Amino acid sequence: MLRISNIEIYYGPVRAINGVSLEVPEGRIVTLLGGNGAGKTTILKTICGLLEDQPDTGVIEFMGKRLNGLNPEQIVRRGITYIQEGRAIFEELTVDENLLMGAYVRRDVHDLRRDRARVLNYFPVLGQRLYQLAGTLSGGEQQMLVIGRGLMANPRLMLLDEPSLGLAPAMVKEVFQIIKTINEEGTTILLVEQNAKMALQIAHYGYLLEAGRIVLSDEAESLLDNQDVRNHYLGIATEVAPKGVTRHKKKKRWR
Amino acid sequence: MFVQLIVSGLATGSLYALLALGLVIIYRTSNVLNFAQGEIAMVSTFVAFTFLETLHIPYLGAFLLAIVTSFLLGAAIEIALLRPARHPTPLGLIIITLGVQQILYGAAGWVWGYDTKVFPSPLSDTKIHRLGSVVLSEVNLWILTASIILMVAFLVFFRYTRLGVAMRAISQNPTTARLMGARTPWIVSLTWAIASVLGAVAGILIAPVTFLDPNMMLNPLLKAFAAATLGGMNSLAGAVVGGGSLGILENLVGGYLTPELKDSVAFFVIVLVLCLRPSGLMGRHYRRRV
Repeated sequence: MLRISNIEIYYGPVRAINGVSLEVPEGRIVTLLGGNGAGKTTILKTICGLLEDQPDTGVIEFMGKRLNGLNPEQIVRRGITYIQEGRAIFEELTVDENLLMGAYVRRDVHDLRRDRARVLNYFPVLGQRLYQLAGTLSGGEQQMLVIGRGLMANPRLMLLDEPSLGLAPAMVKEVFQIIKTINEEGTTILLVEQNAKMALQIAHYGYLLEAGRIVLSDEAESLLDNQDVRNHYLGIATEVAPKGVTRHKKKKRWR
Repeated sequence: MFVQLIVSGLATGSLYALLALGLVIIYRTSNVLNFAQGEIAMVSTFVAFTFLETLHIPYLGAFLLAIVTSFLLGAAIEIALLRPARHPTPLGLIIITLGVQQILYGAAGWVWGYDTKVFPSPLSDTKIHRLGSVVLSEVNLWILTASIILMVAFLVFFRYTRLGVAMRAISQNPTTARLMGARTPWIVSLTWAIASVLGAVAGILIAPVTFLDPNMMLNPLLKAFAAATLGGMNSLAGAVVGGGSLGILENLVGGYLTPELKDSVAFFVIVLVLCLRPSGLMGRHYRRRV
């Protein structure tokens, strides 16, 4: 569905992405993992056209058509919705108006009503707060609003940027469960995450990005079992003491 | 006497409200205070005058043509002068609007001259209607009716239509609005066009009373700033309420105290509001989370 071949992205003179290729097949959840500054968000922004004149080289194709050089307004009309990190809500609009904005490109009133009901079904708390200013919601509710608003566009492909950022663990689980349900109901998802464990549990396929390069890609289950991934991304590493005494303590690392 | 002062104050106030509404619409979408709002209205009024006097088009036709002109003028100013600004700050854009104001002022003086003209209008300032004990001139009656209709229409538009909601969304987060598919630059141009139309209506309605010259909108615009501040700079309903109450207040001061103080009331109101309630009567400014 989405095919990225060998793209390079520059911020001014600095090359942020070095020849990345990846593919998101229809109906799947594909996750893109990596540490801070690896270039995950850069790739998403480039797909949806936010970075002008990028990618510098390489091709981005969606449903067999090139996206290079289109602006965000055109790309969203092709059926790609980008859900930004950090709860980019419209604070001074009500929850209801935020949802309406999510459906900005749609003209099909009947289906829109159905999708709105679906969103309120996923996130009942939004239904209770429809006429409240979005800025007064709690952090978790804002994240739900952002995802719900993205769904209002009824996208074919949803680009999700760090939905777990700054959420309580219980809330993270709930959000990921909903992402899984959204996928099962037919939306393809490209998920960018730092929380590798959660992401790999719901994803079908995963890519590991490091310093602007794909270093590893495999089925999600194999990645969960992969020793390197376990060490570097899942925070499960056994340290061997110099004298050969095994310490029964897990060392945690965040990358 | 009291009711009479309130009703005629309301008529003047509704003109302030129209201008203030234009200011607030632009402020809400692009965080710019549009100092050219008054001059755009003035030029549109002169255009209507030209259609009436020189081309002898009937009043309604001239009115509609002037509205169309002001729509195009507002959009053209945004596209030609504000949009090209690279990495604009709100302050830089405000300075641009000041420049636009000066350009329009000079151009109007050059084309139409600085002498005061009588604006021919089928609405009479002397013919009066009686509503109970209240007396209202025909002009004021029309001013009231037209502005109330316009204001209600725009409030509904901003509250309930997709485009209206998008206009409010853009000021808060332009990038996200683009990601939802809003064609941001065009929507901003459209707000300028709409604001200009509101100003033009106010100008044409007020012209038979104040007469026509390049300075005609100076005073009303300052009052409109006061009205917008009073209502809360980012609230559309606030602009309407602010305009109405400023008009009434002015008239009461003029009627009971002294007419000399009438024009100062607006500035007194600005100072008072900024000291006591900076977000205005109806401004609900949400403080962003850290």
